Amino acid sequence: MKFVFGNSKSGNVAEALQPVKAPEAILFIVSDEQMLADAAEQIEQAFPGVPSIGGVGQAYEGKETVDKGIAIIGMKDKIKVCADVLEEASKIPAKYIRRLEAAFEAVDAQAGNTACYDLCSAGADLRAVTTLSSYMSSRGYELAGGTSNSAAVACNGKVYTDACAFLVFKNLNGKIRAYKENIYVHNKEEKQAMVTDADPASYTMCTLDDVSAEQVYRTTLGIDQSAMATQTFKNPFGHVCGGDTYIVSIKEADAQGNLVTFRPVNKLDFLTILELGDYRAVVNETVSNLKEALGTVSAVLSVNCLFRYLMFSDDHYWNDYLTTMSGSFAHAGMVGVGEHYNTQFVNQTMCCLAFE
Amino acid sequence: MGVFTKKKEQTDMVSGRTDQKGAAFDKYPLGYAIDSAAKVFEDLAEDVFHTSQKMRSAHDELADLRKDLGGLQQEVGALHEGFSVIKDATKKFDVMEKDIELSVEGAQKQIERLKSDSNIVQASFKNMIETFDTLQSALDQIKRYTVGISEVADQTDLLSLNASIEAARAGEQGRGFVVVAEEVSKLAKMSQELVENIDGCIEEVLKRSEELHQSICDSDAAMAHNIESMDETQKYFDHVKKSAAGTTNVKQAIAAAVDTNRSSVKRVEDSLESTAEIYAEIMEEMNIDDSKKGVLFESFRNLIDQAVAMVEELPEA
Repeated sequence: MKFVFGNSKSGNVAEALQPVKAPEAILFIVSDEQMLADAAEQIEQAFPGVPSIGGVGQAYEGKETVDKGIAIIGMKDKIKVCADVLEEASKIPAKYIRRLEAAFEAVDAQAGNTACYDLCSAGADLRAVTTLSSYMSSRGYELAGGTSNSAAVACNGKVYTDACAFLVFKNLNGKIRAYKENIYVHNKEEKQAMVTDADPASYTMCTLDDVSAEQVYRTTLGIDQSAMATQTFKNPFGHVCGGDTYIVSIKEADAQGNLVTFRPVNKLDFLTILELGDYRAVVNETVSNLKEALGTVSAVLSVNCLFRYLMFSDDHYWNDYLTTMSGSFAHAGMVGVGEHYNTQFVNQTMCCLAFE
Repeated sequence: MGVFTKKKEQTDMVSGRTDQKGAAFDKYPLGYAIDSAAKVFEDLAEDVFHTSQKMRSAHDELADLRKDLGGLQQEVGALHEGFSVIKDATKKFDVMEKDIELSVEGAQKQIERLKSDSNIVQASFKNMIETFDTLQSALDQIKRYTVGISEVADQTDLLSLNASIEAARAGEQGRGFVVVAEEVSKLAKMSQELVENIDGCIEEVLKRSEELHQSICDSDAAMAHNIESMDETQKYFDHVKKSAAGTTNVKQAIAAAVDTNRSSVKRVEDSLESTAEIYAEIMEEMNIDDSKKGVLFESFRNLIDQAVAMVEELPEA
């Protein structure tokens, strides 16, 4: 697969479309939700019938980052793509399951060379990912995606509120693999605690092993109240499940000693407090792992968490990160406020589809 | 959408029932949500069943462990008794050790005394040697003087003979007899001197003999003191020997107690090994991956909530 990229810092869609020639699929990102509808319409007009999805955030291609205006990532070359949308994504996305099934049918999906990249409205992740994975995981199709920083997303020229837009790719040149990069490591003691009380609906974690979640967190790290706002950059929670670890970011502590998170936790979840690892080394490892898994990697379409983007930028590493990623293959994607990987909705992660 | 898909849609429509917009209600998604939830529930049930099996197995192992621990308790009790015997024996050892310590201290003091007495004896012997030398010189002197006296005696004999001869001639003028008398006078003086000298030497000898006598007495006293010290020292060493013999007894008692305990220790070791094996089996059983349950619950809840929502959307018949 190849990328064709255009952008306009001023938000001029026509300007952004100029370098984009003969795309077979489009992912576009605008910096403001108010730009979404107009951009969706113009793109559909420019490339009618070309599957497209769009959202709000930042975007990047190669070494270039677009954090203002519009970025258009065109994809082409030995791919078959279908785009559609699950509406009412925070409530009953399963109602639109036929659209997902149809999309996979349309590309003549096969396990190993077919995968899905999704972009959903903020707050719709959980139901959307459950619904997507309920169909895909048992059939061997992989999922990578993220959350738009908006209540609406675009699909095929239209804007949908509370929705999950998706692109189903079939790689006619080989395999597609979903990959997740975690820059946080387990602490030396590897201590885990079980969530004993939680309210997933309000994204609230109440107790860990019957002790106030906030107390456990602050006592373990030896920090006071004032550090809570940004501690997640160094020490998010890791949700341990079946030998893998999925990151849960902490938003804040409430007055009752509960922790509010960016991803719901459930009773019986096992959590551990993670530590920031050597992310430069991890990124290099990601490049090696992708090459090892696929042999030759033609392109990687990713979602990077906003927290990673901010932290890397703060450390003056973001540009180096893009350079490292694009050094071995074509790399493009978006900065999201949530990430999706197979059956899980995660935080502070990079998720991607890698094309052979 | 293909023909097949259209057909599927038609059969999934609820006949005669429409949604709010007047379109036929599509129950396929509802069926899908329920089926998916059921599948997740199956996975969850499987996970719980698996956990339950492991717990049951661990419970059985725990019962075995309890039995083992009972046996272990008894063995440890026997071990405890054995160690009490050793403890008592060790206490006796302590007492003996103190005793030996005191004896050794005493013996050391005696040895110091011996050293000091030996120094005195040594000094006395040195004195004796010097005195002997002096005596020897005095005796040599006496010898020389004795030789002198002998010479004088010889001379006196000659003179006597001469006097007789002169006496025979005395009738004439007696001149020669005066010379003889003068010579006898000289000889008498010489004898006097020699006798005086000899007296002096004899006094010297007497004095030195006295000194020698004193030295011998001193040495004698010192030696007597030495012998006394040695006797005392001997007593201490005898005491140490006796105490050491006593420690041998205690050591033998400890060795006997240790031997007795050795078999108890072996039984405890075996028991602990068996307990450790059971414990390892239990830990193996308890190595339950509970991490998936929360995730499965979440998926189930998300799907079933959607099914419920779709049911609520069902138009009334």
